[in-house]
Amino acid sequence: MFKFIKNSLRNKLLIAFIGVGFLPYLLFLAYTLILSETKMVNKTISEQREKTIDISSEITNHISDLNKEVQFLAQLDLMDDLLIDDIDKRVSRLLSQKSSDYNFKNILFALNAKKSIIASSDKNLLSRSVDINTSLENNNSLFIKNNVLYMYAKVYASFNPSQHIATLFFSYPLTNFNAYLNHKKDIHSTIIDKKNISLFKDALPFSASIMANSKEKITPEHLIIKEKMPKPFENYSIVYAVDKSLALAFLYDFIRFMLYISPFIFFIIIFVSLRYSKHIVKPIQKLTDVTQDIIDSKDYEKSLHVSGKDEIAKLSTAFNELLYTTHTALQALEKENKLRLKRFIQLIETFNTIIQTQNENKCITTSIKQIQILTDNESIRFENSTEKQSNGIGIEVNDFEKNEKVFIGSIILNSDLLADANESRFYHSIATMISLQLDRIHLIERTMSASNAKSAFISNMSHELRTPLNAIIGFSQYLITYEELNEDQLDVVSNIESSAQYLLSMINEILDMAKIEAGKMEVSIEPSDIFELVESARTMLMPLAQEKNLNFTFEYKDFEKKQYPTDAKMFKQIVVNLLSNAIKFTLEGEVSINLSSSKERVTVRVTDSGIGIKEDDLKALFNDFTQLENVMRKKHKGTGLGLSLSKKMAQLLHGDITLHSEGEGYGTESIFYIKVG
Amino acid sequence: MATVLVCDDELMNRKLASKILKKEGYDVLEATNGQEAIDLLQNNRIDLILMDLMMPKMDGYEAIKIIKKDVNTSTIPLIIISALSDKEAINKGLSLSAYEYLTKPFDLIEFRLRIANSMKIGDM
Repeated sequence: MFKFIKNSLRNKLLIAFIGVGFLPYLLFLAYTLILSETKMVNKTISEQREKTIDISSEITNHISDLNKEVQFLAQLDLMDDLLIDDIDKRVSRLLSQKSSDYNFKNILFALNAKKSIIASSDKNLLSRSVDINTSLENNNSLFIKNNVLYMYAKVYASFNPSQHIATLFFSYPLTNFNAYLNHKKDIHSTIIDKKNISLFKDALPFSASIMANSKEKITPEHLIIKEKMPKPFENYSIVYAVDKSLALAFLYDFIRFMLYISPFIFFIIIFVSLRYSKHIVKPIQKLTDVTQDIIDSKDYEKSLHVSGKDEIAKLSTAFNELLYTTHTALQALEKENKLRLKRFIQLIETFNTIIQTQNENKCITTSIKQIQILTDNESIRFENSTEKQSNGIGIEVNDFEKNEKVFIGSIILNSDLLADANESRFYHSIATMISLQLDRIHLIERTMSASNAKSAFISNMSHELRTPLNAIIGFSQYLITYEELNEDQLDVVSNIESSAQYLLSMINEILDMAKIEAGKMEVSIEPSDIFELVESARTMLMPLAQEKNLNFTFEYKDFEKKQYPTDAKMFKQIVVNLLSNAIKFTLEGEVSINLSSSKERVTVRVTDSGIGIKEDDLKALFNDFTQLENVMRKKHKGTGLGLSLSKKMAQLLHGDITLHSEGEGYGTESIFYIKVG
Repeated sequence: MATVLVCDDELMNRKLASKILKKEGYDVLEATNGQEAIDLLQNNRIDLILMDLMMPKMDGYEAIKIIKKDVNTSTIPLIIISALSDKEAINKGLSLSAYEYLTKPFDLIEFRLRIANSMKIGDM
């Protein structure tokens, strides 16, 4: 699931950037939601409390001013009139005028000693008696009764300042405070008395009594504070209630705003993340691409383009240096390898040249020359001395006759070269190589001369043997032809002649074999009538087959009668040999010839119902001078060269002879083929 | 009567050839090498030469070359009778204008026929 992050640096960065961008935003939002509300509430409360204190002091100041006015009124000379009439109309008028100057509810009245109103701003109150203690102290110029503030001042006679003629009262209903209170849609305020009863009906959307024991209260809808008023209104408190929605309006607005802009912020963060992660990853991607390209193309000459100075630029620079170093090292290595290969090939060529030398002198001089070329050192030479040299590597060859080693000389080197183990080993190897080649040359020379001697011997012997045989055969034939011999004599001479003929054929076989072995057998491939060759071989051997009453058949339906390139004499000799062998080793039954041809070869199969051959003996048959140990075979004379010679001749004709037999007593099949295609 | 010159270093070969030739009604002269044969040719009328190849002093090739160069002897039919049976030797011999090449040992009947044939050629 997270594979797309795991496998991509860019995606990792993207996730990191988005995280880093969004987390503070979300934290800020959460902080605002959780903490700001409390703070806002507290702030509103303290603000409102300050307001109430302001209102209180305003009220107190106002009241103090009013009180001063009352005191001032009481001292007016006019007040003397009060002495004249119980009901003084002039003063009443004055009071009435004064009272009306205020834009709030009030009553000014004067009370005499009998507690009767003798002057009043309200005419209806004249002559009424009022239950107010008139003997009030001067300094205590006000009191509150039934939610009405009374301010008073004693009026003394102007002519006799000690004569107290009346007391001037200013009645001020506390409901006037309403004017100071704030009344808005979302803000509710009132003044409550000691019994938590509001002075103003319906001023609060809840019962004022909930503020009984608390200075402030937060309800789901409102923030409420209660502030005790100063003297002389100590029994009263101002209650202020603010709708919570108002208090938190800004917060809610802010949150709404934040939520509105969230998508944009999200987009900006994503956009910046995408751009920036791309920007960061791009050089890395490029680095990866170039690296991959280098790996694929194996072109270490490429390099990265480096821009800027950041870590990636440093990495790229380091990478380029690494490439350069690798490239240089590779080149050096390649050069060294080529050099090594060249040296190696030179070494092999050296060996090759050495093993191709055909005589001792050439072997040594060529070897030394090759070493000089190989080591680029012309001071290396061969010293033909039987004394061992301290600065040389001795060369020993085998004396095959005495079966011992003979020291023939040394390769003279710089002694420094011999001191180096590797160099020394190298030169010793070459010395061994030279020794081996010299042995080889000596062996080849020995073998060649032995072979030549053998060939010459056989050739001479054959010639020497043939000359008297020639005479024996000739004279026997002379006797048979020209002399009139009796039957007995004829039989003897005929035996001499046939034995001589047989000896001659054996000598011819030996001579042929010697020729083949010496590589002196001549093969003359000419277009030949193979059918005629086989037919004549059959005709030649027919008397032998008839003598043994054998069924001698010749089949050639798969043979195309035409001229084929071969050595006719050799071909016939081979067929004659195979047929005579088949007839020789078959007591009864048949000998059949099958001649066939294809594009590539001509095949002669000679099948007999003779004694057969054991599987183990099949191979041995082709060895020179082999005749199998068999009672039947022992009856037959022969050099044992026939089959071996035939096979060798077949091979000279680019063919071969194979023998097949199911085993002793199951007959034999000889297959002779030559390639003609 | 026709005269045949038999040139062979081997006594037995000469004897055999002479015996057969005499039985066939020819006069026979014998030589043991090339030089002897040439000497005999200069002093006798010869109708047919039987020449061996490998002989001491002067071999058959040398002798045939000389015989064929001499206008007096070049037309005499010549049969090479040699133990050499390889193609090289046969071709070399025949290239020197010998009529026949017989390999030793020869078959008596074949020998007789070839002599007779060569004689007929010589008569023409």
